[in-house]
Amino acid sequence: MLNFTILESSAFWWAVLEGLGVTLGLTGLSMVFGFLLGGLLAAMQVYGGKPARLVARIYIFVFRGVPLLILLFLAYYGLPRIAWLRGSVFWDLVLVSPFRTAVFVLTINNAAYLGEMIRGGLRMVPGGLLEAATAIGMTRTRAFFRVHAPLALRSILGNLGSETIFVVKASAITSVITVRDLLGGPTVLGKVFLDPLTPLLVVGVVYVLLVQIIDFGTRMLRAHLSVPGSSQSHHV
Amino acid sequence: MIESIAPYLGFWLEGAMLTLGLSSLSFLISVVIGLLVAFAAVSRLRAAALTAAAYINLFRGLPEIIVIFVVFYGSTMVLKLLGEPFGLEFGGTSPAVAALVALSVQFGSYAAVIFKDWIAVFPKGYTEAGMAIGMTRMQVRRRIVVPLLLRSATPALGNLFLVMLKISALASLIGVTELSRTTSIIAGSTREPLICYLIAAAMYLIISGVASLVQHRFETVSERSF
Repeated sequence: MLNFTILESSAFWWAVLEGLGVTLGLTGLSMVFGFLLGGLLAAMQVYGGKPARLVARIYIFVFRGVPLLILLFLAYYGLPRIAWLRGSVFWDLVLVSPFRTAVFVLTINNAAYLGEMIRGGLRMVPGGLLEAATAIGMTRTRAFFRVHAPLALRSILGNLGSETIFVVKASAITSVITVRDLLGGPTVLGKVFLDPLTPLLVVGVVYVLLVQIIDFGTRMLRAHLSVPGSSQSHHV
Repeated sequence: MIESIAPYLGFWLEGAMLTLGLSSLSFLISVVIGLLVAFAAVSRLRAAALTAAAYINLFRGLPEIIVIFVVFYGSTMVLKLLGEPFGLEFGGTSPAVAALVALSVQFGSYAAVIFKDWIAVFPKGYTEAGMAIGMTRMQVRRRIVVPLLLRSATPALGNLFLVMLKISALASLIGVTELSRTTSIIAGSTREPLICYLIAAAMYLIISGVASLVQHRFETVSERSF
């Protein structure tokens, strides 16, 4: 009843390796795009007028409240039903493949969380530093890129690590729209071998290791960038 | 469009109720697990502390979807293996029970992290005061530490419940007919996936909106009693 013949198949280990690549791709792309979109959302709230703030708040409320699974189904099964989307740029860029759809959904979901995080980071920079920057003659844009943004980035570094871990785990859900990621690839083979459990256990170990590595990397980076003598970290 | 969906409304609401029930029950169990694991993590017993740390780290890295599948397939397999020597046939684990166990165990580790952080900043004076009036360690824990921990952790626990609501959608993948599963069924039979998933999204938003309102209420009330 319990057999592990699947572990002797090289196709299985290739699927794990390829899946790992896909998972890293999903995570990396949706972190980068999500950060850009999240930065925009944060800017809308920090610098924007009332309408911009409202739009950002609604966006964040919606995409933090709806399960990723529903968003994936909505994009994968729902959006293709909209006739005028067919043949549009959006179709060619996003809906053309499950992988791209997954990146899109993870991005809009991730942006809601990153937006809140970036806003928090921007707020944590003491106002005096920004006044000092303008006092020595920096323009507002320059003060933002030289002072405000770098300091905010450093203060949210630990949270960015946690968010990356969150995305790695969330990306496993994209296997439901046939993405062959670290979960999807090997478990499809598990069906061929009539063994659903073994691939799950192997892949589970890989996820745990991956998360440990990200954790370690974040800690190193934070130690490297921390200012000696200042306990800037807001992780109590 | 509306006519084709209307007959399913009752079925849909049943799914929503199951989502609420499943998340609430797993949430309560995970809070209990979280408290136990957090106290184990700060225990002077090395073995207990190490086990708790391993538990927390394991589930920090495991995607919820994998835990749900492993509990579901794994328990079915284990039941079969256990039954075989006695000639017993178990008909596989119930999906709802598997989902409940998986979510409780996974979120128990998340709750443990929350409690552990609060234990680390717990004012020593309270514990000492309890000891001074003759309470045992256990009494101090039960009557002073746990109630205060629960109160200070309310915002974080509230957020955890909102995450639980969303993650419980994954139970649909092993066949639990909660909100997501009923939506997929309705989307399939009406052939209106766009509308159906949009309605499901709105339902989730309403549930989490109400949950945050309740949480807010709860926080202001407990603040006033301070």
